[in-house]
Amino acid sequence: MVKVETAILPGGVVSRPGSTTDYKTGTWRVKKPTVDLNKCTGCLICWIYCPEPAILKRHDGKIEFNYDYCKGCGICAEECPPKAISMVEE
Amino acid sequence: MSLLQPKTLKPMSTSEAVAYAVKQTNVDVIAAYPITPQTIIVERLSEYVNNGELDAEYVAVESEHSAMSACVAASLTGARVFTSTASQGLALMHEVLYIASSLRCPIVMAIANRALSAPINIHCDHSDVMGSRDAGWVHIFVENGQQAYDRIFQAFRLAEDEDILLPVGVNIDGFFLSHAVEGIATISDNEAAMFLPPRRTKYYVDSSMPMTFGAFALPDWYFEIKEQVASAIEKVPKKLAEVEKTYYQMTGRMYGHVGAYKTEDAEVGLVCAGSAAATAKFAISRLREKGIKAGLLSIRLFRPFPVESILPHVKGMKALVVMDRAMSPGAPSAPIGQDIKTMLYDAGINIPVANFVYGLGGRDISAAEFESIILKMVEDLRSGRPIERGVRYWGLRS
Amino acid sequence: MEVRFHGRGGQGVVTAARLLAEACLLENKYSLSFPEFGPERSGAPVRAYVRISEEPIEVRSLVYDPEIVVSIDPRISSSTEILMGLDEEGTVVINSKNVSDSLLKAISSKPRVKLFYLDARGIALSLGDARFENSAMLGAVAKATGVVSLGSLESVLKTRFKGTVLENNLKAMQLGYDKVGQA
Repeated sequence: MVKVETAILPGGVVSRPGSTTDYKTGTWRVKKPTVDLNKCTGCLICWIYCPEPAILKRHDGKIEFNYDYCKGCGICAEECPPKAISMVEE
Repeated sequence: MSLLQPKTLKPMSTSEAVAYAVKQTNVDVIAAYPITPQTIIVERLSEYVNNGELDAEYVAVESEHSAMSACVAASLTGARVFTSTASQGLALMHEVLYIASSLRCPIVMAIANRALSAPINIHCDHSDVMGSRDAGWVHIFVENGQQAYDRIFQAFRLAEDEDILLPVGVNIDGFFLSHAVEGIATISDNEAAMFLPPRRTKYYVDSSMPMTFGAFALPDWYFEIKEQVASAIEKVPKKLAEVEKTYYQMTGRMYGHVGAYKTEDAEVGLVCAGSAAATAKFAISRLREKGIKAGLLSIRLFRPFPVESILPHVKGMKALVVMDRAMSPGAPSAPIGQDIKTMLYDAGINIPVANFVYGLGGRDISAAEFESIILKMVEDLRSGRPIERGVRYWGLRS
Repeated sequence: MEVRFHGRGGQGVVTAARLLAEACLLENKYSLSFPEFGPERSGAPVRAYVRISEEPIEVRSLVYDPEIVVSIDPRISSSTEILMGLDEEGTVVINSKNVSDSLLKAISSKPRVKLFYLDARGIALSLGDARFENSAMLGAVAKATGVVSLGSLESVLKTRFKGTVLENNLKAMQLGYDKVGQA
């Protein structure tokens, strides 16, 4: 378990914004998403649906994954209209 | 204590006095749901807001659960927040009470103490507050309208102190106090503003400096965060004494953590809380006229339990009578009885304690009844009869 | 000094007790007024209490042995229940055209008790509204007991009411003061 090493403020307030980025949830994954860039249309439906967000937008408009935070939930693969994303074993 | 001439006092019910005090604190947010016998407090406050006499946000919620939830949210923005409830309303708030204390929200709540159903009953007892006594709130009992008025200001100043940051309940006996009209000495709006400047707090919800409030805490952090509540509430007796001292300098009125009367040479001490303690004081004065060495300890600060303030008074006493206006079914003692006995054990004082539950559902207790309870204890002590341990019920139909 | 008011929900019993307490404050006496706590229901029997003292008031229990009993309701005025716990030298002020035999009989065991009566309903109706009954009775209480002056009661009324409502209440109070009779 990753600990956020700061003094405990009253009421457990976390005063530093974005502290959840310290918590790399990518270790939770069983399967990881991969993208077939030939099929990817850059519609970014996956980007909208990703709960983390672990979908990153590339300069060419297509997508890649931030595996530090991707929990492997598979929602992106389920929602991808051209079925460009597939879940594969680590 | 300085006494003001009656003609200089304002006639107000305790509920009206509480509402007037809250108005003078320049409260920012009130979220409340009406319930007998608290209704007049929130009615008056909604009138003040409606008339423009009080510039506050009055949130008319659909339940007490929502009332306390709204209070928590408002308090986290740094606002000064008030609510009021009673009985079933406090019970419905229950889970949010813990959130208020653990998120360190300095909310002030007037509780017009009332019995819990069933049977349904609208009258006074302390079952409501006793049911939530472990929720991490500071609890103060008052004996009359003047104390209620004064304690509202003190409660806000105590609650909002950055060393404390805990919610405070001001407990007002339903009907016996809430609906009783008497002369109240008030402070000016200017004095109120001096005593209670606008709330300033370090951590609050503000989109320009984002922070996380109410984060999930796993076994690695939860315990420490809860312990903070306990260590903060331990600071209350000292802090409240300071707050009272400042208030005393302004008004000449001071109540202390415990209302001690004739305890110096008392053989039997009576422990009580709320309006009945005032009646008991009269009973003690009558017993003293008869040469009976009895004394009164009125529990004014109930949470934290003011052990250090009580102990000096009980040293030298031969027995205590503890009167509880709430039950703790199946427990070895009723709520205040439990605290008193724990305190005595820790201090190595082994004297008999008679613990009575009285006055549930608004059943009255008179000064004459208090006299007979104490006289019985005095006789038992003199004759060497053993004092019955455990909980007994006073004034129950036999 | 302890006072007990009897009446029915809607007759201003609680208000009468409060007005008396407020008038006592004006006369520099400590006072406490409170209703016999219950769900307020129009027409149901209601009691309210006043304690008056030169010293700050401690006792918060109900009143068990009043020095003064006031009945604002004509029907309750014939009931001996109103004498419960009355002080041996107490005073009773009832809203009634006359005094019932049962009440006279019950009171005979306490020869030093003074009994006063007033047709407050008649006075109130002559002013156009039965709701002025309580003011008329307060006037009667002032005269019969001397516990408070008519002037103090009038001052309190002036802080609560305005216009014709105030005028009629003041008239009712004055008439009550003038017309109350001793049995």
